[in-house]
Amino acid sequence: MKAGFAGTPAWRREGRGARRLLVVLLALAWGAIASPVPVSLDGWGPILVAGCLGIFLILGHMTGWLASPFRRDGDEIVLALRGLAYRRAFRLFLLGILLLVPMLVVGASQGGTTIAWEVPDPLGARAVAALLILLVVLPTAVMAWIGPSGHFAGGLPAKGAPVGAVTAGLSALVSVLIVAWLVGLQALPVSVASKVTIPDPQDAFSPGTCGAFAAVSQLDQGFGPSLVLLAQVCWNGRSVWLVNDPGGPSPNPSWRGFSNALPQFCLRSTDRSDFGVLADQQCRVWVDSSGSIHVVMWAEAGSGLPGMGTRWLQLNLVVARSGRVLSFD
Amino acid sequence: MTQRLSWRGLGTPEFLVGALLVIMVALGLGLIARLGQLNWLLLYLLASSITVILLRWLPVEPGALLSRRPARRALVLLMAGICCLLAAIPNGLAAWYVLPILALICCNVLLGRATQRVSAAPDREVDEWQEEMRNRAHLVGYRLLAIFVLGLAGAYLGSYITRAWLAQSFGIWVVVAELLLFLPAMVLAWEQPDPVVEPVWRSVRTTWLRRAVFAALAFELLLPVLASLALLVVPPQISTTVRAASRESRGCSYLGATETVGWVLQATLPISAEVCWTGARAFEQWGMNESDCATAMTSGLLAKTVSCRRKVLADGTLYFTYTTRLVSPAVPFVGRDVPITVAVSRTGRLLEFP
Repeated sequence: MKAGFAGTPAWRREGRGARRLLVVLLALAWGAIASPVPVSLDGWGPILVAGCLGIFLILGHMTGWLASPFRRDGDEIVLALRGLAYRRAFRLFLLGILLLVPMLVVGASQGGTTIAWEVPDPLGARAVAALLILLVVLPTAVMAWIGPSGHFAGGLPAKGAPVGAVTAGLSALVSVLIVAWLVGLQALPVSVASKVTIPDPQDAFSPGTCGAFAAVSQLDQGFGPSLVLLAQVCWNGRSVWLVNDPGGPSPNPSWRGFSNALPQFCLRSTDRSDFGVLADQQCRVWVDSSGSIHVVMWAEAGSGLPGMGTRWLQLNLVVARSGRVLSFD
Repeated sequence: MTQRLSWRGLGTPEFLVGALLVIMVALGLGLIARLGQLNWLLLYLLASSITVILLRWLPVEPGALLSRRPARRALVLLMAGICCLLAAIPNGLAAWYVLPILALICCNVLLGRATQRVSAAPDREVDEWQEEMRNRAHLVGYRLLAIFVLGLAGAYLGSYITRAWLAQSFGIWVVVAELLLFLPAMVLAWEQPDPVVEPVWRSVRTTWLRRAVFAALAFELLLPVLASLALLVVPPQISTTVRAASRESRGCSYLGATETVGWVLQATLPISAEVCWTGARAFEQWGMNESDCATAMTSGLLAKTVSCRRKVLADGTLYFTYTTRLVSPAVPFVGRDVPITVAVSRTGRLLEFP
């Protein structure tokens, strides 16, 4: 039985050069997702992921999905190629993870985060996406790379679903994932995580007690835009103030010039907009009549695609002058 | 019959690598004897890495027991159990990781023997059947790994609680490393059939290099345990300095001492203070405050100050004591409380000093 290559253009069936070119493009797209530079993908994450999956679908079709679980049989050469593809894929996956580790370290240092600021997020959605893409595409990419020219052209005898049906099914699955992501941006509840560290280990000079407040508000469990609030709040019983706030007391006026070195409230670069876009971000700080400080931050979040709806993400922090956290969500 | 020494043998890779091993062990032992400030962990990791490389280089035969599929499967199940245990150990119990990790290392050595390291052998060293078996092992292993990674991704997506567990669990990342490095070999050990004909295992020639590598492995596995136990039995090494410190119209002394406890895993507990006396009472000039109780310098041990006290007794004696609890990260429950006490009478006589 022929495996469904009828109608496939010759260059796609026979050309190893074309397959290898696609593998290189796939590697570049994956590298862009996994790389810590730039710190934020500014909404390009979904496009890169879709690009990776698109190339994966083309490569899968070109190789007759011989490295997929949908096709289990084949001649001796196919079995040997499949075995070799999985063996190399296993090692490349290990290599990919080893590459991800320094990327995570560099990314963390570029983001300026420290232990006091970290909301529990060991990998970040970007690294998780990179890991999953690697896992899915590697055997097929290796098969495409090592398969000799013309090898997949003859419609290799293999049991299982026809190539076209597998390609169509997986394309539909990728489409469903994209739609689910878009629906999730609109419909899934916003997840908020916060962390309070008192006393603030980064503070050594303030004339009072200080705390480090970190919160993140996310859509799609991190696979959407994330609004991050990082604030250092100090209090002494009589008043409460924000570090780097010109209105707040300072132990030494000459230090004001260096205050930019500290993590700052409402810092644009702390946002994680890899998978989605934040727009119209604003923040406001005021002290109410009871002496409590209010820190509010909000932004409009969306997929970045034209015509798609947006949602508002908001984070609130209220600290009394006694240091009691009245609200942080 | 007299065997003549062949000089050609000195140039073989086996000899060179063996010589390197001997030099390393000699250097390591020399450094153990001479340097207290060595980064032991680095040296230990370096020596362990070289041992692992050498171990992989040595030929192996599974032997009668490990050639049997039930034994191999039992080994794989044991490894899976250890991995589950590592993943389940809560954060903050660092000492509990060491024994399972050591057990896992031993299992990995046995796994290498059971599968003759076919899964990672160069292509030229495997026959057609072995090639087919290891290809299949990688295929199955990759799918199992995919299930595991999807589980991790599920934990990441699940909630902030599971996300925090991922962030804080050291054990889960050891399991990830174990699976990435040894899962194909585990699948191979599980799937490889029993030999059809009872094999006659030709015993691998026991060379001095083989003995040396296994001796190094045993030493490296036992070293953390021995070093932990040494904490309990090795007498402390004490060094003291007492000298007069002139102050106006009163007697003062500088008191300096260090107490070094343990072997390899060591801690040095210092005291560095100035004490003065007037004849009616002794008092601290500096160096006997709360911050001076937490100055232990450790090399591989966990130190925690459990008590810190300074007082002047009714007879004018100055009394300062602090106790540091030293715990080995390698073996649970092995620890020692080390007190440092200084007592100076109102006349400046040292009543108690390390």
